Amino acid sequence: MKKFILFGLLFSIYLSLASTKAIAEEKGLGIYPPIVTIKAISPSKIEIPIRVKNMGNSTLEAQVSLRPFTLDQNGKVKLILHKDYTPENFSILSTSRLLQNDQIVSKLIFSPHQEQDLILEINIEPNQKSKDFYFSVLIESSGNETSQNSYSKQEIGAASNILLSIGDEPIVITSDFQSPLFTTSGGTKFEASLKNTSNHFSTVHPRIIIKNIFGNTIEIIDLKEQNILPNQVISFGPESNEVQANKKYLIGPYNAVLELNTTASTKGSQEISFIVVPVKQTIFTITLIFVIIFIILRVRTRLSGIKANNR
Amino acid sequence: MILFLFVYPNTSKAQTQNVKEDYIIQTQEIKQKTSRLSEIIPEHAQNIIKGENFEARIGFGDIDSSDYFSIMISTGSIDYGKLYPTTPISRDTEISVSPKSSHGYRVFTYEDHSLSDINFTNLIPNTTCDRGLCTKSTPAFWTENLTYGLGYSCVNITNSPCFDFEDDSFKRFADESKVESQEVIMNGYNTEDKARIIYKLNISPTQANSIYSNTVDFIAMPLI
Repeated sequence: MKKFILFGLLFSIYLSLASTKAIAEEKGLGIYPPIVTIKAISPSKIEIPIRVKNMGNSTLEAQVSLRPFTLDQNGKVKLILHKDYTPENFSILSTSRLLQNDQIVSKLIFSPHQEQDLILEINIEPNQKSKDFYFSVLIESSGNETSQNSYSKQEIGAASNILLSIGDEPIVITSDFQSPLFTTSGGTKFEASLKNTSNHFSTVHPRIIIKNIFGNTIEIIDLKEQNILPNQVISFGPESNEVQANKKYLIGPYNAVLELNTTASTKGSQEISFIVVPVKQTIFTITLIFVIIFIILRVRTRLSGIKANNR
Repeated sequence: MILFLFVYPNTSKAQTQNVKEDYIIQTQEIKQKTSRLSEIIPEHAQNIIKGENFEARIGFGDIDSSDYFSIMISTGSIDYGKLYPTTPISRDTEISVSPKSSHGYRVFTYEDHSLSDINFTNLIPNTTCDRGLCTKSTPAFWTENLTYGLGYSCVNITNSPCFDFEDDSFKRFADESKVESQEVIMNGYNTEDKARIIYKLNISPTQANSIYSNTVDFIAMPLI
C-alpha cells in the first residue's frame, strides 16, 4: 500500500513538472534573407530561395504564408489587415506561392534547430501592368500548449520582406543636402533627405565625401542602405547623429558631396560648401593680432615722441 | 543507426560538384546540403539572382552577414494560475530579437481575442488601466486593485527596444477578432535586443469562475 502511495505521489510530481516544462519551453524562429528586392518585366517566373530555422531546443510546428505590407505614417513597415487588402494585394498573392520540394506548403514541422528550405515562386503574367508589390514571407509558430488554469498561449513570427517592381520606367530621386556654412573643427553635422518621386521603389546607399580646397578627400561618411518606396521621404538629420563627420578639420573651406549610389535613373550628386572656423584658435589668433598691432602702434608713438624731444 | 540519423539529418559526405554557367568546381570529402537550394543560396549576403525578365538581390548590399533574422520567446504559454478577484497577477516572458542581417526591425503584437472560456460564453475584457486612460496604442499607469482586465507592459533588458512604454505603464493588446491593427511593442537597430513582456491580469468579483484562454502573437519584421 505504501508503495502504491509513494508511486502515485511520484507520478503526480512528474506530471506537474512535465506540464510546467511543456509550457515553459522557449521557442524561436529565424528566416533568411530578411529582404529581397526584385526588378522585373512581364512575363516572368521568379524563384527566390528562402531558408527558415527552428531556433529553439524543442520540436516546433509553424505556418508559412504571404502577407502584404505597407508603410505607416512614420515610414516604417507594418502588415496590412485582411480587411484592407486591395485588388492588387489579392492579385499578387494569387500568383505567388511557397514551395518545398516542388509542393505548395503552408505548414512545417521542425525538429530542434532544424533548417528548412523553401522556394518563393512569383508568376508575373503577360501584360501585367507596371506596378510595385510589397509583401512578406511570414513564418509563425503554431503550438498546442494548454493548461488546467487560465492562460495565454504565445506565438512568434519572423518575416522576410519582398519588394517587387514590375516595369522599367525611370526612377527619380530628389535630394536636399545642407550643413551650416560656418562650423567648428569637430563633428560637422549634415542634414540630408531623399524623396522618391517615381512609381517604383529604389535602393539607395548614400555617402558623403568631404574634400578640402586642394581636392583631397578628407573623410567619407557611409550611410546605411535603404529602400525608398514611391513618394516616401527618408531623412538623415543631426538629431539622429547619423550624418556627422567624425574627424576634426583644420581651418578653411571644404566641399561635401552627397552621392546616392542608387538603382534610380538619376545617379546624381549634390555638392555644398562649408567653412571650418575653429572657435578657440580663431579667438586666440584675433586677440594675438590685436595685441601685436597695439604694441606696434605704442612703439611708434613712443619713437615719434622721442624724436620730437630730441629736436 | 537512428541516433546517427538524428545527429546528421541533412548532410552527406561525398564528392561534390558545383556547376555554374562558366566553370565547374570539383571537391572531395566535403559536407554539403544536398538540396538544390544550397546551389542557389549564397553564403555571402550580397547576391544577385538573374533570370528571364527579372533580377533579384538577396539581402542588404552593405551588410556582410547571412545570419538569420530571428525572434525567440522564453515561454510558449503564460499560466495565470488560479484567479482571485481584485488580486492582480503578473507574469512575464522574455523576447529576444536578432536582426543581424538587416538594418533594424519592429516587433508587432496582438491577441486573437480577449481571454474567454472555451465556448466564448464568458470573457475577461482587456484593461483600460487606471481611470480608463490606456488603449492599445497609448500606455497608462495601472496600480489600483479595482482596475480589471488583461494588459501588458514592456521593460528593456538589452539596449532599449521597448516602444513607447514608461515604467509601470501598461497597454491592452490589439484584438484581432475586432479587426484591430497590430501594435508595435519593440523596435531597434542593434544586432541583439532583449525585452521583458509583463502580463497583468485582474478580475472583478462578478467574473464567472471558468478557465480563460487566448493567443498572443509577436511578429518580427525587418526594416526595409
